[in-house]
Amino acid sequence: MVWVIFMNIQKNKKTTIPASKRDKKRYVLFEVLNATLSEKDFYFGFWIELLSFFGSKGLSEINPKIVLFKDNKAIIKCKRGKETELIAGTAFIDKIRNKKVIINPLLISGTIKTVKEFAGFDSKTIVEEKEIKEEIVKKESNSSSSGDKK
Amino acid sequence: MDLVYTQPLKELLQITSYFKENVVVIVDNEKDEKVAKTNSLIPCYLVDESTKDISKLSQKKKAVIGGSIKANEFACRINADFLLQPSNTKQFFDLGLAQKLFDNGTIVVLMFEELMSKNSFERHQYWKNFVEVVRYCKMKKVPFIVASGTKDPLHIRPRKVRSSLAQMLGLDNESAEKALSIKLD
Repeated sequence: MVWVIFMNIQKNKKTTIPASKRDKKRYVLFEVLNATLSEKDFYFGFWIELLSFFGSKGLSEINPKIVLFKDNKAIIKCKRGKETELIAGTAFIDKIRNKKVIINPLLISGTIKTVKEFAGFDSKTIVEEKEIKEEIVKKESNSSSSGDKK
Repeated sequence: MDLVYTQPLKELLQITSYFKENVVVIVDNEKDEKVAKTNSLIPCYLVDESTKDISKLSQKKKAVIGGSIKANEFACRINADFLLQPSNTKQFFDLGLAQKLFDNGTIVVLMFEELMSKNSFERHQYWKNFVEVVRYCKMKKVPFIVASGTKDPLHIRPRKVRSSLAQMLGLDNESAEKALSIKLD
């Protein structure tokens, strides 16, 4: 009986790596100048140039991933400490689908939230969120005070 | 600071103002020099051994395209402000040359356009030689920059990209930024 309970506990244990022990990453925000591209086109041009410059080993060390592409802006995730290499690699992208482009790095950050805010992808900024929180706290305090009076 | 060849002025000005970059334009005649000056660009004469009356250009900025022992030595002899592409698929750069460049205050420039236009086989040779050039420059404290070096305004690269390319070649962050922010009169 005890053994069965123990086995159940073992099965229920989470197998995911805790966030503190995962590889650290950086998010880089790029903007594409001079042409409007679809996500597929950007993906295609980006990988081909980086692969030809770094090779498969070098690219695996950088470990880039396109997180989001919207309004000619791309958020790319990479390993921490490899962001300079990622930016340098993008310098070699000059044409995508016969359209001349310039890829301009705008921001490097450790959290996707700040990158999204900088790019204007999120409607709510930190300031707005703070204001909303403050309003909620005020409402709660008002309701509690009115309850006390009753 | 970025170095480019003369090119369509309107597009060049648009892009450089977007990137907020001081641009040195390589010119070969007085007309281009005037145009550059009127648009607050810094003109720089491209000089080689066949150029006549180099003494006339003593007050002006001079750039020499290296890539051979003769050309590199010529840059030292005339106190050039910029030495472009000191080595290509073969290495023509050593500590003695680096010391001379340091004494003259010459800036070593990698023209990125040339690197980009090559196929990957030639590119790896360029890269290997430039890593060596950067090592020598670091030893003798010669300023080294990566410039766009292009005739097409759409091949101009932003400052962050060029700085990270210099870092990949072996410079540290500080010296890469410092070399790119040298102000020319």
